Amino acid sequence: METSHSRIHGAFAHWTIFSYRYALWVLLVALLIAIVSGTYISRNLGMNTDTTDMLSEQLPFRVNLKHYNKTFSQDIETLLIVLDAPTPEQVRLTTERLAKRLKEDAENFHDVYLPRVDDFFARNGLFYQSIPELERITDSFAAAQPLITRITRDPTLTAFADVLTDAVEELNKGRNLELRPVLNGVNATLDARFNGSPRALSWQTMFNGESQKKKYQELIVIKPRLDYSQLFPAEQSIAALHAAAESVGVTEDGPIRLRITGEVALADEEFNSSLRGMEYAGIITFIMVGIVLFLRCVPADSY
Amino acid sequence: MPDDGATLTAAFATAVVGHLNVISIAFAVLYIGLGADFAIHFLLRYREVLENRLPPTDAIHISGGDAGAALTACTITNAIGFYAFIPTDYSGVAELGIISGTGMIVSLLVTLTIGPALLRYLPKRKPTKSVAKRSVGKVLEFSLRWHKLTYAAALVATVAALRLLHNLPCQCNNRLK
Repeated sequence: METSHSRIHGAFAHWTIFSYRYALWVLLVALLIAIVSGTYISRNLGMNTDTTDMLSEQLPFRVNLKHYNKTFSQDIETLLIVLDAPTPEQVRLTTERLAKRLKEDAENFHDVYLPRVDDFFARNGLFYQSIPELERITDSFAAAQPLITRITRDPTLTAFADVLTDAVEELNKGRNLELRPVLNGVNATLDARFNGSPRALSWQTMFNGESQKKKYQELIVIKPRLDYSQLFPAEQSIAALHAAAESVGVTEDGPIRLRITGEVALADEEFNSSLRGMEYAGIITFIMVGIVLFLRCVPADSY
Repeated sequence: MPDDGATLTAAFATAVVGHLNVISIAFAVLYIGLGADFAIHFLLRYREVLENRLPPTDAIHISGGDAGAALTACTITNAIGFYAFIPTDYSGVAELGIISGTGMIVSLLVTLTIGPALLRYLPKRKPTKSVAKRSVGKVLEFSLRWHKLTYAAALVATVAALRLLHNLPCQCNNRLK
């Protein structure tokens, strides 16, 4: 009597014998299938690298998140650019130039926002200061007025040196001039030069009578166009951003430093590390399985 | 063999899910590991039968039947394990479940179809008894002879592991660095 086990056994036995007999055909068909599915995969298999999509959409927090993102769409999927420079002028100018460049590149970025550099405040900023602060600013400007007039007429180092010489002569004649901030600023710049770490002198801090800080920072928030069918959705936009930064003179060894962070850049980095791990895992598995199979074969052959 | 199966599994993923995600891309590694197992089971049985000086066709017949039945059971249990991911809300893992579970079935089909076909064209060497098998046999004999001790050790280890389980913290942040 035939049991179910022997029926299964028989079916598999026939199956394998069939493959063994028609081995050539089986292998050819297998090769054909492999080629066909290989092409099919390369044409159709997409990649979804959006990590938030991995959670079910019906989860309460995802429903809320979607609502939130819809309401505050300017805050999601952003890149935050941080620019550091030794003077406020440098950082401001670079930020404006870079922002202009990024706004022109509509293909890679669809929103560029400067939280601190703004035309409105450039024009109306003084209205927003407190009265004592406003007095201090106007006083220091009034004191620096002769210097400012001459520098704007001829913004060169020679003109600046002439102004300083004149001012020192006036001082020697007995006039009361507040030269300390200017000379301090010049002194600090010269000291930096002698110490081998040259830095620029900022007019702005000098006229304001404040001591120059080590570095000044500006931020740009941009929304890059993301392509989730790519392995790295932000790769192209980040590359475009680097190119734009280079074109406005931000280089690796220059005084102005560019750093990129924000949700998109972090996700990119996160995926990059997971993929690198995956690559290593794949290679290690392949090699180790190979070693094990090799070791299993050797004793059988050599004894 | 695993490569062919992995390609087929990827084709299945394309047809059913349409994309891979950060987690389901791991199926490739899982497939190589588990797919190689299937081939090893089949090939070792084949060699065992050959050692009894049977002609290759008979050896294929016997080993195909034996390994086929055993591997079907393996496939079912493996696939259940992977398919268990499907109902979760974490679709990253759910997609891995669909792809890898089906990958196990693909693996069975590929092993039993391409395995024998390849064996026909591989150089035939005279099989001899392997040394490794004897030492594995000795270990098994040991646990059989001292079965009461084995039960006791397993029980103690289980209790200890359950106690330690209490102290296992859950790292719930998906942004692990």
